[in-house]
Amino acid sequence: MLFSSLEFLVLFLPLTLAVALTLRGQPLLRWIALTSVVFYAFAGHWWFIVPMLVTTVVDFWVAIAIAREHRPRARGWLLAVSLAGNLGMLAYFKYSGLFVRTAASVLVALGLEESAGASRWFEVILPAGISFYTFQTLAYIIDVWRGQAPAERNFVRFAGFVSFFPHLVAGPLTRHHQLIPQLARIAAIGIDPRWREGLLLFAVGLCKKVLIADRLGNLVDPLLAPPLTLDAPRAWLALLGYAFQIYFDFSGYSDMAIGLGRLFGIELPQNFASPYKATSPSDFWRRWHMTLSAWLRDYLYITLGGNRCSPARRRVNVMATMVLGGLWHGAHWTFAAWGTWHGLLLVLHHGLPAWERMSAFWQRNITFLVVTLGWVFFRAESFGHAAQWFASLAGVHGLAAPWTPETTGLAGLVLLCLLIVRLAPNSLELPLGRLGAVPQVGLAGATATALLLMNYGSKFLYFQF
Amino acid sequence: MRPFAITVALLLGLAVAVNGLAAWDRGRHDAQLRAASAGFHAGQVVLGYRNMDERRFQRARLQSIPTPRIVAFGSSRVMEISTMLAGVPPGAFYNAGMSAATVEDFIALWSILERQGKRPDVAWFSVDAWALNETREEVRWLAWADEVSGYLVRTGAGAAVGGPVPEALYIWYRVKELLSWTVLRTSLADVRRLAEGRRRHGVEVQQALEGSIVAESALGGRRGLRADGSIVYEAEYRHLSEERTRDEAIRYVTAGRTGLEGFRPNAERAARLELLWARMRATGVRVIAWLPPYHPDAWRLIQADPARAAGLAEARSLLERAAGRTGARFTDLSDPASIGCDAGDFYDAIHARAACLRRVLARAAGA
Repeated sequence: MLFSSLEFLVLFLPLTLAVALTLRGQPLLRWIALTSVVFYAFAGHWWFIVPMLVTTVVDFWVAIAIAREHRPRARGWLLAVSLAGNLGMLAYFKYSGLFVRTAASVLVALGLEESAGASRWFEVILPAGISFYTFQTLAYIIDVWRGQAPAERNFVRFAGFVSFFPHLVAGPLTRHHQLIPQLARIAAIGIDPRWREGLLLFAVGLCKKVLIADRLGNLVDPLLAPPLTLDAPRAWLALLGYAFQIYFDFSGYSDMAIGLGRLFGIELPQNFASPYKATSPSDFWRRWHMTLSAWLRDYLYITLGGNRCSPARRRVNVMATMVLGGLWHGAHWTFAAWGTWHGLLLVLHHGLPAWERMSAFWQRNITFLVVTLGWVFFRAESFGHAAQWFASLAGVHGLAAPWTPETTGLAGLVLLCLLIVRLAPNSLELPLGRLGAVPQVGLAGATATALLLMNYGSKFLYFQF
Repeated sequence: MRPFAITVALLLGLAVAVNGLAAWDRGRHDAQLRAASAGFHAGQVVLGYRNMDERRFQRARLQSIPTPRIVAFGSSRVMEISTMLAGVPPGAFYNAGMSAATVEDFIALWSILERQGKRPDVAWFSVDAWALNETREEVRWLAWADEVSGYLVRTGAGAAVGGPVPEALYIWYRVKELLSWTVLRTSLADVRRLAEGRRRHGVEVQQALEGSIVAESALGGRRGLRADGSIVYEAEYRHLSEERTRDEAIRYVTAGRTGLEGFRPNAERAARLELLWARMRATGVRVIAWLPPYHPDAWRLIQADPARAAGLAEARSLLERAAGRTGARFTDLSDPASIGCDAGDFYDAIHARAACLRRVLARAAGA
């Protein structure tokens, strides 16, 4: 079920909220967990709930067992069980196809026959959101193992933490310490909705998704169909269009998720802080998909040694974190290339003292340019496709061709987006709690348009991750 | 908060009112269309087909025709198949092809035939691969979403006809239409025409059926539609040079118009097609389906691009699966060489000429 669907907005959400408003204690938590599972069952295939329930049950009991166990070795084994289960499931559903395809191409390159039937075993459908909830439970288990968090003894509350529908499918990646205490609080006092801030933020997110991201997608997708032989201006427009499409799509989803959380009296963590205003690659990662960046920092980069090692080792840690972070987004080597690109940017930035002497204007624009160039790897369907795109950007397929109305429309939309991302405040900085009547009417007009347009709209880009 | 809520409610209420008014008016007009359609017979063609509202036309025609033995379903790529090409006597064949027809259109057409008790012995399906691509938005079928919804509700998951759940689902589909931008755009155009005292949208179908029917021999070089639903293309299109056809075929792929770009299998649509075929097979209808052929140059370029070739293969696999489960007969004829069609057998990248279509039928239907 999509947030931007009438089924969700007219049926699911009002019913879920209406019943939740009448409940307290365990029944409220049970209701939240149950409705979240129903929500997830409609997120693609009903069986998606099976791996999620397995993760929930296994990690709930493993965490309790770790907390009870005092022998380090046994605790280590319990942690290994959880890691193997979570990462094994993620590897099977998400990465097995990639490894089999890669192995097959290596075999073919070596002149050996590929067994055609073997790869069919790994052609599995990726359950939506598996990367998100797996990382959430991993963080919980690791923190319990480190002794930094208590094991949750209330299964329903734990199930609510894993499955709470606003963040389940595409984040924000919410940590146990951010959500479990809030679930305990609403169980004690009821959901206490923040109607105004929740609904208006949801409306802002919906408009970002439907009015901007989907319109950009409609204009950009035909341009990027392989074989890609665009003239340079169009190739750049398509690149900028995609850069804004993915930002408005994903940040729009995050706004909707946070807005929905507020309707249940829960504050989900911020996920975007105007990333295209970043003044360096490091700053970009403090503003883009902030919850994933924090997860990678806390559970991967620091575990690898973080900054407490030699400069050379630190660079290796950065690269490893970013490559794995890239692969988290999708089972294709182009995502690894995207991660590598960002890893290199971070390493270069750290090794470039002259950067700090540049004016903020240049820092911001250079950062925007290099980040945007990285989206080529992210969006390309293959390395060949990426190469075609880079060639087009360089003008190999011509420097100018006659503009169509679609190109003009895309240029206008890109310009508008540029103004928004550079000049407008972040969604969470908007004074939604005290928005005046005129801006409210304006937002309402945009929201009504989005509600009409969304009926047959596209899915969210980040669902595939 | 109040200005926001009131404005949203007012604007949505307005959209619902406009869509509701237009739907009511369309219902009135469809009755007039049915009456005009009754006088269209074999040997005649109706002019001005290019500008017609094809779904309204088909809805009216299916209620006027006698029960055919064979019905052809598909997009414009199937529309040149005539009674003569099908090799059956007049009245035994009906071509229900329409521009950009998709699975939901097949369902609507079949639903009307079934409700009329006009069940054929054989159903031919020319299924375009793009129809199974989730990333390709198909909206034309929404013009008769009520028919599609009604059929899905009648047949879906074994639910009893008229029960509370199907009724609720049906009402839900209608509510969704009232809140659709696509429907609103059409409705606004209809309402504006009415307000300006101009012809109602779709009235050209009625007028063509009332005044633009001529004998096929008097068609000249114009485009027309026969009473059996098959199309006669205008002379200009029929006589395009092979060179121009080839250019068009290449442009079709390089400009990204194949509908295979960014292919993602549309599982919901495939399931609907399977449901339709299963339902047809259960009532004794022979279902014969094929993936239609491309111009050789278009085919070559599609195969040269791994993403498009994979999309086509995905579509083939979905159709094979649906056919295998339902007992339909399916043949992949997308490679023109597989049936001996060459560049001269095409009008453009995707529309085969009669000679090629005859081979399609021979291979797919064993006719």
